[in-house]
Amino acid sequence: MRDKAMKPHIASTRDWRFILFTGLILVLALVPLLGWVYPYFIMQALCFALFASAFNLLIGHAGLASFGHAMFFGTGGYICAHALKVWAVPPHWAVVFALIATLILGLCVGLIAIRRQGIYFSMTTLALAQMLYFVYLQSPFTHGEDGIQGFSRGHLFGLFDLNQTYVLYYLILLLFFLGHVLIARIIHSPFGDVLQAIGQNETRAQSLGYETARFKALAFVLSAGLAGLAGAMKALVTQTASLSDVHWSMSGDVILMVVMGGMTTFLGPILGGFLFAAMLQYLSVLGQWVIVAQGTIFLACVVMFRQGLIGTLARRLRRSL
Amino acid sequence: MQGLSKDFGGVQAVRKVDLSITRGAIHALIGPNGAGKTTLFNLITGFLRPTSGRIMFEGSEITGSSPAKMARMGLVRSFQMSSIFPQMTTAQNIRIAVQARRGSSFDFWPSRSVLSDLDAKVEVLLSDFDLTALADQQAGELPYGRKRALELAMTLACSPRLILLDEPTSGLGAEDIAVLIALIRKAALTSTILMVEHNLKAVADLSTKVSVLVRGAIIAQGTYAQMEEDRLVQQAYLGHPSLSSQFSEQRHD
Repeated sequence: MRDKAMKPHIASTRDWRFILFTGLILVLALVPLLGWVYPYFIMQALCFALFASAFNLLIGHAGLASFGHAMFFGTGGYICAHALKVWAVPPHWAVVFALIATLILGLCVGLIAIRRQGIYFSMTTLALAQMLYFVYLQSPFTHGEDGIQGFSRGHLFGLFDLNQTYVLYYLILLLFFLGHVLIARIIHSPFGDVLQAIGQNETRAQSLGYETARFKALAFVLSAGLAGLAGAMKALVTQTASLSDVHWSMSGDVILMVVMGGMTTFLGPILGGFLFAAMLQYLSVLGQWVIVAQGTIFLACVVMFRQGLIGTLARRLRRSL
Repeated sequence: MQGLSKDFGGVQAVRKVDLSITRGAIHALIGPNGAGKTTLFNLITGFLRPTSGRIMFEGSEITGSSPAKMARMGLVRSFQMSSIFPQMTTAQNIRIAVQARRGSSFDFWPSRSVLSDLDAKVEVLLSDFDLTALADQQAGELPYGRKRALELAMTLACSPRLILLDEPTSGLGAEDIAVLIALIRKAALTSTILMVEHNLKAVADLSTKVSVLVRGAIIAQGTYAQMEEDRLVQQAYLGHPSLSSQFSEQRHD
């Protein structure tokens, strides 16, 4: 008789998340037909949103605050751009190379960083990201301050010309969708449950017999790969890969996106990514004051909505969002 | 354990402790505050590495193994502060503990419904510990006594061979203590128990053997009745009327 009462908690409460996410994908799929929003804006927002969701997998679920996640975002972009421009491979291979590179980078960084906990973990990721930034600054292939630009996006599988806006748009939407499907699967898997337990009480998880370091390492690698995918998508969209995407301020921006939207929620980071993209787009008229405006909006969000916009809404509705 | 020692920067918290625990026993470790009981616990469960000495478990040496490895071998501990996963429900807390016995949990693609064969065991534990009605409550919001029961249920969910209980009755009211003692007795049917305990009444009730730890060394071992008679123990621990009455007052708060 208790079975019914138990099911929603043990099985899943993702129905609302599922419905809202599917709704979002459908609306976004219709955008080109409606034509009121600039498609490049949506595409950029989708890249940031996937980046934020990848980051949230660590901070929201495993309780790991990485301060260097821009290194994966930026590396994904560089490898994708370099593969397209110099190796002249088709775009699907460029994305695959970017993914492999960031997974390997994630494994190396993860294995070093997860040896420390709390702020020491965060500082280790920041330090490694700064080192990588310096490497990119000095390496000839990144073209330093200029970045990699002026490459053709090429034809996907030799069939779809990505230089046509809407072909590119649907590819980006598809990758965004697949990335989030993976994240949703991770969150609702046996692995995801252990990750959440580790985030809430690592010592207890250890004493139950979980080698927590291995779980954290796998989570780190998955998150790094997804962040790399987001970076590769952004390189495809903007046709540039530049130092700004590996800069520490980008690591800060992704924290901002996740906190604004709501940590531990599924939809929060997506909203955060869209808000961030909107700020970049519509506040750019403010020039240098954009940082002040961003800071003010961030502060307002944190003060008024402590769990982030979606987190606060979820609490009101008593639902997981 | 043989000649187990732990130094913290010049301070010897545990000094050459020899302790053997018989299978099936409820072995209590008592001693005044600061005697090194918790340190000894952390040594046995791998949370601290001993400076010297060896730990044997069922015939093999386990000194220096990770806490997770010790737990998988059947040496499971509970904590002084109720150590649970506060943002999960009671049922989820137990499920995570049961899941630990499933082998690797690195599968990140399949849905957690693959774990449904664990539900039966979760249900049994919930009802054994009288937690069925609270199964869907957030564990962090449970009353204190229920949290302790949950913690013990999680420990038992790992099907441990040796359970280490760190002050299981601390902070509990008399009623909850009686419930907990019954639960521990039940657990002892299938596992060996080593517990650190301040509540001497609980120790007298439960334990089959008592070791007294003072300033990092074991000064006496035997049954509870023998310990009451032991002069060294009386001097070091029980024989401080001022201290122990102060102590029991604190307990009743």
